[in-house]
Amino acid sequence: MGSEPKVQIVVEEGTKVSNPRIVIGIPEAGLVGVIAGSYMIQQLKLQEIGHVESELLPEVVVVHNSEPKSPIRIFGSGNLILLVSEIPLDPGFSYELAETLEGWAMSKNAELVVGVTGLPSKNRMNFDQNQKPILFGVSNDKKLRESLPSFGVEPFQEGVVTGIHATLLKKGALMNVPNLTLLVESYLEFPDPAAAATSVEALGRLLSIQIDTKSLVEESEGIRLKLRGLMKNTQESIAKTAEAPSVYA
Amino acid sequence: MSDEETDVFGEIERRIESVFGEVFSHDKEDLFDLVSGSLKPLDRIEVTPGEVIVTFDLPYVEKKDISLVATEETLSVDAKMTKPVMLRVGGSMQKRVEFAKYSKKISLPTKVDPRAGKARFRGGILIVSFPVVGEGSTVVVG
Repeated sequence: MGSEPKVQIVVEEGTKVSNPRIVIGIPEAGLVGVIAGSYMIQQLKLQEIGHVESELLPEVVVVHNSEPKSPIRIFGSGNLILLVSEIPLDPGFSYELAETLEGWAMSKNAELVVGVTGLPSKNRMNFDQNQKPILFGVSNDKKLRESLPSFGVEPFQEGVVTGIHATLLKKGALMNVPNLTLLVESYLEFPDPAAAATSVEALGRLLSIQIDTKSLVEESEGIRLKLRGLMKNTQESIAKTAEAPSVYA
Repeated sequence: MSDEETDVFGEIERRIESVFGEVFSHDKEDLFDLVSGSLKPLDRIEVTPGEVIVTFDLPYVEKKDISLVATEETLSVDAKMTKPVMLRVGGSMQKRVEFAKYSKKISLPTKVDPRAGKARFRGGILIVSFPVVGEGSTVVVG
């Protein structure tokens, strides 16, 4: 008799998911993944199709229009799936979530799993229209690695990846699910919509999706203000779990 | 994206304030001063062997509207915003409050020379650095 899994991917009854391309955004450096994921959900009008259930999550739901909402939700349309977390993840939960996600991706014959995150850069302040942040990619799939430059992504040559992205890459390799981690130079402890815009543009090229990032850049200051609370919680989480960010280049 | 009903970031703001404002460690006093009606900017403090570097996130601010006052042990920033903003405050009983300025005073982790401070501002990010004041004096053994 097996025990109940600690993390479950719950998809609404009747929703068919087949050969998905899964994009994951978690509160981390610059909130890049959350901003990129949330913007794509809005622009592509993705519908909420599920959520993550876990005994390891805080026992809190937010009620909106009489409906309880999980802090980690799943959106989709066709074979594009987006998972966005609105709470920082502690290391124990990250591992369980990554393992469960890869198992789910394998069961659905996923084409690709993409984690999007920020790569803290001391040089970030110097970026502007003329010098955009560099976008790096790490993949467990050789063919994908070789094709990264054609999408405007530099292969991540030397460094260390830890945390959920490391587990996604490792478990993906074990389960034969192609994985890619996209890392864009960003601020560590401030929301960075401009860096997120760079990652969204790359995702558009990778996934052959038309998506305009103009409004993300234009609304950047407003987004930075709205996400201060989430960034503050993420800062505290980063401080508790590690001295440094989860990626070193 | 300005339509509140379709503003995904406004929705995140509402949910985060609802959950974290009431339940978790995020204290709304870390982000707002409702008495003075000012926002407290996000900040980052780094200490290197020779410097203390403080970075502030100041969206909607122009350089000319920033005021910095430093002592050996503290740094205060005040900045008027280019336009007032409405943000959610209040946990599960949220209300939208208008803010038009930032104000924050931080304690520095070590003593600095405030007269030698330097500041740069770009894209809403303010970086202020000070040389660390050396402690003690060399004593020569005769």
